[in-house]
Amino acid sequence: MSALQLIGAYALILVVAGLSRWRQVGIERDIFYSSLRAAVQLLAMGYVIQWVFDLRALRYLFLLLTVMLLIAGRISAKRGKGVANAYWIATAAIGVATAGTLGLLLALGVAEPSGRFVIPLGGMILGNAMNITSQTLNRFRAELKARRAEVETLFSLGASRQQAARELLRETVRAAMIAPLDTMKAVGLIHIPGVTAGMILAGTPPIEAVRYQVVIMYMMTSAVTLSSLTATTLCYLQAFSPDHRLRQK
Amino acid sequence: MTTDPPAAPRAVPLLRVVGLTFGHPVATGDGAATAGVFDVTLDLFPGEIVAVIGPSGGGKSSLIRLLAGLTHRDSGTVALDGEPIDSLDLRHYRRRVAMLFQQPHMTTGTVADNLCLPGRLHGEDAARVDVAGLLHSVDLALELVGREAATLSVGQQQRVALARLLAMTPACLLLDEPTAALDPVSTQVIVRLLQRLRGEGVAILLVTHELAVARRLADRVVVLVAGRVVEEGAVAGFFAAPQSTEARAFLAAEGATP
Repeated sequence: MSALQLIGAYALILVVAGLSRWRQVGIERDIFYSSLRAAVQLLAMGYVIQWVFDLRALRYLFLLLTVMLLIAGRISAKRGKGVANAYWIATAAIGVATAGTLGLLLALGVAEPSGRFVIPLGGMILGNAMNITSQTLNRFRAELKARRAEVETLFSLGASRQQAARELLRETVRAAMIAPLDTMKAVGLIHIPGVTAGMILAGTPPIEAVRYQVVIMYMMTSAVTLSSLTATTLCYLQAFSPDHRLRQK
Repeated sequence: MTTDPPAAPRAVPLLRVVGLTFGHPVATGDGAATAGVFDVTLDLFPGEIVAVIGPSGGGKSSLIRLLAGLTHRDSGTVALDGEPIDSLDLRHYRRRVAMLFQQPHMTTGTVADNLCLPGRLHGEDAARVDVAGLLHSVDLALELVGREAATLSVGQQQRVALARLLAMTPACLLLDEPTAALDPVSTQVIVRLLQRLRGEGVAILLVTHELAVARRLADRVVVLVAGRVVEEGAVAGFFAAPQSTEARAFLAAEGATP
């Protein structure tokens, strides 16, 4: 790829950032810095990937995944500003989802415990769980604000904190899960998974290549559901006190 | 309406509030300040209406939310029938000390669903709720029973919200500007109902910025300025001759000179 092509692609980023500014959406700074950051991070990854893929010592893999988790928690927590302890909630939610699904893949022997498999797979799970956790935190905050009157009315009628929060929690998870559930519905029709397509083109029988994709898809959906439910539960425990009231003043 | 033993002696308050304090930071024009209520002491007896009046931002809403157990106080005590609030399950406390908000909130479903909600929240049989009687008490037609509650007018919603509280047969009602957003008919219905409930021994605390409502309904007034009780007394005496300078200033600002 020529430098000109690269610059051409980047021009598109500048165009959409410009559109954001023109329409006063206010995400142009986020787009601009995130795009630069992505390029630097990808370049750095390019230089260390060989070394990472050759890692076989479990403790190093574990350490690397932990660092990735802490970074994911930080990114996600920024979407939950206003939720107390957002960083810990996000990290716990992403961590539970990743440990559960990656652990199962290793236990089933679907993935072998080496950097080549664990890191990209773990990264994929972490990334998806992070997105859903961001959505969940963001939505929880919005729902809590919008439904304050409902929650307090229910409290005033003698509701427990579970009863007062039920609709709010349901709506939070439902909204956060729209994208991953639609993705699963559209896979193969709209989403053409690159690795599977590549394996088939390289001669792997479809039944063989697709089997992996199906497993990955199930794991991913489980991971994001697990992270959304965990984040929602932790947000709930944070916002609703055991004596049936909202903790915020 | 009250579940107290009959002829409870007047000397025993239903709700006793001592030294109640709750501060929260607020943004003002020149930096941060602390608003809330400070060292509020008051008694509420069965069968009386106490109006809490005072300038906006003076702590009226904070006070009523504290009494409803919606916010947690910094210090002081609240006792219901001599029992400190901390020793009570708030779910049961709120059924005896019921709060009506300025803006009624109807849950999804019909008017009947809303009236049966308190019972449902406590796992009681919905069939036991006297929906017709409750609607009658707030002067709403029985035909409304199957209507989607959110489609009613604000005044009708507030009447349903009040009837919904009465389904819990509370001993005390906390009302936050209950008629501020209402049409005259709904206001009239609510005023008459509150007078009837007082006669039945319900204790009523009414937060209002409408001095006319306080004057007409209340037995006593409590004046809250900057979170502190600056004056408390019988309605007639207070409006005729307010004692404190803060209360006089407030009445003058409201155009209600003695």
